[in-house]
Amino acid sequence: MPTKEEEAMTLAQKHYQIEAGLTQIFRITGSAEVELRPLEPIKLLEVNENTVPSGIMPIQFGPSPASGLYYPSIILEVTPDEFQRIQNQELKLPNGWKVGDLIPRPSTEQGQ
Amino acid sequence: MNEPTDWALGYAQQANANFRAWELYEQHPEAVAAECHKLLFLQMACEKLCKAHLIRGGTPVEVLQSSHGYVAKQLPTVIKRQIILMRQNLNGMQGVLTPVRHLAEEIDVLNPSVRRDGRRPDNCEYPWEAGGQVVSPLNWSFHPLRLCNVPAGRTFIKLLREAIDRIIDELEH
Repeated sequence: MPTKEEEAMTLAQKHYQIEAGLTQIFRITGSAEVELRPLEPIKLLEVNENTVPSGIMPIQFGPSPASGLYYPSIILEVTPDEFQRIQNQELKLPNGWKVGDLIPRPSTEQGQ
Repeated sequence: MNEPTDWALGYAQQANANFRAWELYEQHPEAVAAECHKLLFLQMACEKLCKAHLIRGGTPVEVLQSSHGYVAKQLPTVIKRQIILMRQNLNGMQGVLTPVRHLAEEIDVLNPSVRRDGRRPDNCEYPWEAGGQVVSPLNWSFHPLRLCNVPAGRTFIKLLREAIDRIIDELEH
């Protein structure tokens, strides 16, 4: 079974692979205490050129071990402009979440 | 007081019933009085599926009970997850997701309350005015119906069914 960190990387790389408009994917992190909980979802902030602006509206999925996804996950998709507003703190993430590390686009996929 | 999970399940079950009506119309085209009716069920199924996922993500039910227009943004993410769950090999899946994003935008505007600043009054419930004339949904040629009949559209419909089944299964167990 992968760690939550490993699964977050795998999930993000799959998203990069099938979504043409994704420019950046970041981890979202809660407090250290919350993140240590085994059932705390993987949280990804996806910056997508092809999405429509609608503010901060995360959606959650359950785990699917049969398909190799062992943890619940939350996806928050935003436009590049909305991401800028998050960075400027004009838009706030809920639950005390913070924008974490960038998950880079996999190098093998860059040329596609 | 009910938990968000209860609400999410309620929305997902309603999405299932709405989509079942679409499927029955597909199987029994002679029962379709007007194509706008068929599309109404598709639009309602998609909206309730998206709302079920939003409730799970923490959006208060009260916000979703009186608002619309979530399909364009959220449905592609739901379908993307379904693609990842169902397909080991993701090569070529961009070719599915790009038209799904377009289709989701078109399904969103089928709701009469989603008008895109008045640019898209066409919807599958109420007549609207265009070019000085009243236009009825009964006589309108809806873009999503054509999109659902191309290969990527048929894949979308299959993935939508799977996504509805999956969320109900997750919430019931």
